[in-house]
Amino acid sequence: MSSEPPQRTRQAMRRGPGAIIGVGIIGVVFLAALVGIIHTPFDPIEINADNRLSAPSLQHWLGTDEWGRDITSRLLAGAVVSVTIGLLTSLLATASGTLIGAAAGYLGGWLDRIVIAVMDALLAFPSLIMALGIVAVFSGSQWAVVAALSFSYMPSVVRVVRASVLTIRRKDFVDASTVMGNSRGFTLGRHILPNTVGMVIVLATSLFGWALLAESALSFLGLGVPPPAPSWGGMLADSRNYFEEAPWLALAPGLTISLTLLGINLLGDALRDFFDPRNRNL
Amino acid sequence: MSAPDIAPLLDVERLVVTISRHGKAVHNVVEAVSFTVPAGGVLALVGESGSGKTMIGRSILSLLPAAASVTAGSIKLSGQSLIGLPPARLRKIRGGEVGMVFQEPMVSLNPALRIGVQMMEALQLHRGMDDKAARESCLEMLSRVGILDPRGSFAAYPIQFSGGMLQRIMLASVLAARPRLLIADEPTTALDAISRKQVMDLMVELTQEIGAAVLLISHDLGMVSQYAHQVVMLRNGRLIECGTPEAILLNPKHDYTRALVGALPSRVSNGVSPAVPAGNSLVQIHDLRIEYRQRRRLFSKPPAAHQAVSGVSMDIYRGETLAVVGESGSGKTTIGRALVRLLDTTAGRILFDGEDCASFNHERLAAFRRRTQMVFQDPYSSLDPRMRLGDIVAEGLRMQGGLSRAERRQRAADMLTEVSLPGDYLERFPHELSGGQRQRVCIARAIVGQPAFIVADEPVSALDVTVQHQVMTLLSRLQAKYGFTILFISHDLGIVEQIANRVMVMHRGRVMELGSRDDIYDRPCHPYTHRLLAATPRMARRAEGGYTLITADFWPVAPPGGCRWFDSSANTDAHARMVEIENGHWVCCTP
Amino acid sequence: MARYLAGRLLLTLPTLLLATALIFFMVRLVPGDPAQVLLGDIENPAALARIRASLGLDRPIWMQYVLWLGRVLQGDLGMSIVQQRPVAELLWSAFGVTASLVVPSVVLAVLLAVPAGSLAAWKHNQPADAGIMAVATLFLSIPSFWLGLLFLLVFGVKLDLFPVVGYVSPLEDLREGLRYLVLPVLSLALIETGVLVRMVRSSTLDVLSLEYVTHARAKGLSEWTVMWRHVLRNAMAPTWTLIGLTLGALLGGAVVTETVFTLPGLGRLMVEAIFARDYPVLQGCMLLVTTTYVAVNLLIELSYPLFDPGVRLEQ
Repeated sequence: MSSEPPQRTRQAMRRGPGAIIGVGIIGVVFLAALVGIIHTPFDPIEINADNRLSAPSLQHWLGTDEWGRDITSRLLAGAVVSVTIGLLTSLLATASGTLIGAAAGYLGGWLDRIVIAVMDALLAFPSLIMALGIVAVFSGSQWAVVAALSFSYMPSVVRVVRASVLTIRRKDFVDASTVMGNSRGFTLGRHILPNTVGMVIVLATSLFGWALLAESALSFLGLGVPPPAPSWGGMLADSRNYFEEAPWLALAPGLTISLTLLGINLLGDALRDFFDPRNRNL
Repeated sequence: MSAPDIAPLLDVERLVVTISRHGKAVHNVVEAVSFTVPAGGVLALVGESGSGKTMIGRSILSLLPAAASVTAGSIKLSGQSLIGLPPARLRKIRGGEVGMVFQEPMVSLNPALRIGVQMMEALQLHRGMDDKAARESCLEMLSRVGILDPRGSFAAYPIQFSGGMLQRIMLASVLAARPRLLIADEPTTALDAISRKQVMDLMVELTQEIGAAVLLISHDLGMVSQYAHQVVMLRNGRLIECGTPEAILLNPKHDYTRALVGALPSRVSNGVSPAVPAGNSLVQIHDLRIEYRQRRRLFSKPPAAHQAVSGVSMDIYRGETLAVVGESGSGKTTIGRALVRLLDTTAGRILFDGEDCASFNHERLAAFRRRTQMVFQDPYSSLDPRMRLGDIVAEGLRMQGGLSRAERRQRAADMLTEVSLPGDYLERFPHELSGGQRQRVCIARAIVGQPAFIVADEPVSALDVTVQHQVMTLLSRLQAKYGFTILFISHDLGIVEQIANRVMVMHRGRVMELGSRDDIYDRPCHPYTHRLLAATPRMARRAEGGYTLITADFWPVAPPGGCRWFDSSANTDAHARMVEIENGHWVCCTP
Repeated sequence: MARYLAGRLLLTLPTLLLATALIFFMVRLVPGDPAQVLLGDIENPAALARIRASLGLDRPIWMQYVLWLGRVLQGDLGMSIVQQRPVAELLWSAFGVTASLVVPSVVLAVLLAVPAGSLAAWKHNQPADAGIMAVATLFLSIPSFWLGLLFLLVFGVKLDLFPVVGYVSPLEDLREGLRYLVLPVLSLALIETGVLVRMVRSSTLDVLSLEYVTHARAKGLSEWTVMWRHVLRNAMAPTWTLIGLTLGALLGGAVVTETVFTLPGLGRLMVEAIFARDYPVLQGCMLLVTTTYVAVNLLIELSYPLFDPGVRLEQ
């Protein structure tokens, strides 16, 4: 019995250490988030006035911030926030965007035209601007941030999925399904959607990265998750006042965000290669 | 092969081309091939896919893809080796001494630059002409190849021309630099039959005029036999046989050559009776009209509707194989798709088993779909790449009702065996199969529900010759066994000769001629049918063994009293009608 | 051709209408009395009544939208709650600052990315390609605000080469103005360069694999001629579209960069308005940003005929 040849997986992995590094980094981040939920070396919120702004040491690996809080612990706790928001946003935007885009692309007609018109209008807003607008109106919570970000990324997903569905729809096996007597819904679910899986996975990975970055930006501006919950962006913002005395305050969270994004990008690239149509798979 | 005292223009000796991946040699696509081309001669490299013929052509000008390289042997042009030349010398040879024409003219020219600019590039580089002289030379060449408006074409973009015209422009542009050797890599494969003949005739004419030799690369032994002095047969990178076309056709020495020549479509290979199965019609078409209307753009005039099919009427009898033949744009595919209800019709009626298709409600449409199936042209897009073969075939039974999953699987397995695919193929995926095998799966899927009517839309056009033969044989056998009716759509009159009971010739949406197979091939009347037959090289088996090439040449036939032959390029009005010349043989005329 | 232009222009109208409608309704979603929301925390019954009348709150909602749109088109964007000045005035001065930040960033990003991406494609699978891609991937993984902070830290604070806060318009004093812009523009542009390099490389690779490139080589043209005349022009078309999208990303990124470098641009104006619940200013900023974005993308689309004769000839 011959299933999907494992040869392709081996090829993809051989293509470069990028994929491995990417997966590795993401793994560490997720692990950190899990750890952060359960336990951190020090309490990330409790103020400890005598230990302010201490440099990295054996006790506090990354030092402490202006309230005496252990930076490592705050990074771990921040990981929870970032990963949660990133995952939720990615899932929500991908799911809603795929359904709308697939329906519009396959069914066509007036549905398609309405969807395009609405999505074009939504895409007239740069995504951060739209997120800011939504947060302004519904200020205040983690859920507002998730909703805002999902809503601002959904139109891009719709556009990409719709384009892909339009290509798939032209293939003969879709016509064959119609000629066999299958209903449109069956053809959509059995033939079209499964052939978008590869692209959707790549998209979801990218979205995870964008959402993470956007959440950090919002927190940096003070519009993200409300304090005292720690977030990487917020930590960066707070570090500005202490440049001279404690430069490490700016390095740790920034480096963390950058490394995480790097991991996501590398993973996304590897996935894109894996699902490349040149590998004779849609 | 070449007279010993005349030095050959091109001398290829024991050439080996290797594909490597990650620095390691993987596979030799060309294995120790040797041949020579004399000055002014025409040599054809013939082979199916994977034979290495294209690689040989490209290696001459060092245009191999990045993964391939020449690892042994020599290529000499007038005694000078072409391998390992320094880039400056190589560029002089490319275009200046050796010109190359590729398969698809649509993509061989840069869509963003004007024709004139691209034509002048080579001239200015190799012949050192200034702008004015180059322009004059190009305009001359353009009218020489039969382009009607040289000045206008010079300033136009590739997208404004058809495939045939572009290929002629390519020839003009490459030969204007007067190379000594022209390499033509499948130059006519992407063209219709009539354009094909025009371009080949033109190519031979022009090269003879300037005294250039031709290395013709093709899979089409029939076409090549009309033009080449020498034929080299290749298979899997190895040289199988070589000789003159007559020698190869009459007396093929090697088994493979014999199989290839035998696989060329010819009339007698299946003994299909040309008699029309008399009697009831399964499908009746009355005055069918199908229009395409492009989407309106804001602020433009609404575009004229394109008449894909205008006023076609005919019957399809139960159990017969009706071939619909035409070039691209003839409407043959449109009719096929309309018959399986993938397209809506604009006017006219289609009756299936006496019932008007337009009046189908949901239930009757489902019943219709159970009895009608389609086999598609492109084996690479007609199977869902994510499904296993067993599921693909079993899906054809999904709407049949009354069968359990296990029963459906069993029927699918039976069908795969029926189309000569091994039983364990049930679990495989389409990408593991070759083109021919995929088409078999398509056929299996189409017949698993035992339909009454199958529309086969160019089912073998994308396949190698030997594979074509296998699939056509399979179709005939299945039809004899199950008794379904076939509408066989094709652009190639040669292929359908062995399988058709009746043939319908279409051009620009209208039927030009309709009759039994013998009527069309032996006694064609309409001038368009004559042109199409003349452009289609066909094989006939000789009594003493071997094959000859038939190049049809018919005297013009006078139209029936009171009519002129309908000429679709002249008038597009609707007064054309079909006149029955002899029993069952209809031709299109206008009063 | 004029028809094509007119047609395209008209097609953007529905998009703009829908987008402005969204902005209009967005403010209505804030809980509470819309008139009070627009007035702010001030207790002023007379002003409240005036606003209520001008909003036309007793009329149907679509009518209110039309009234509002009418005023917007005449330039009346309301009054800022915080600063008690017309919103339009605030927008105008802030727009100049943001433009002086975003435009050079786009230009710089393109100037860096196109040669780098083309080079990487040309030297595909060689060390140069790998190197360029690695640098590009690295850069696009860095948040622009962090890069900005690092620049500030190193070049501003430690090395004291560039000013750390504030802004001087280059229109008033070119030299000083440029000094204030160098770090912000660099931090914005470098990130986008990373994104663009990958896109340029990808589309150039696609073009390189096309038949007409092989054909050009078969004519004996030098590699340089092939790249320049046949490849680059065709690879640029998709990149051109991307520049439009890049602008969108930069407009978003500018928000954060302006905060980092304390530049008085649209982005900072918007953020402050959100904190102060200054909804007229917020609406005004969003209107300006979206209109600019749509206008630029429209210009890019209208310039397509320069690249693609197929579009030009479409009848």
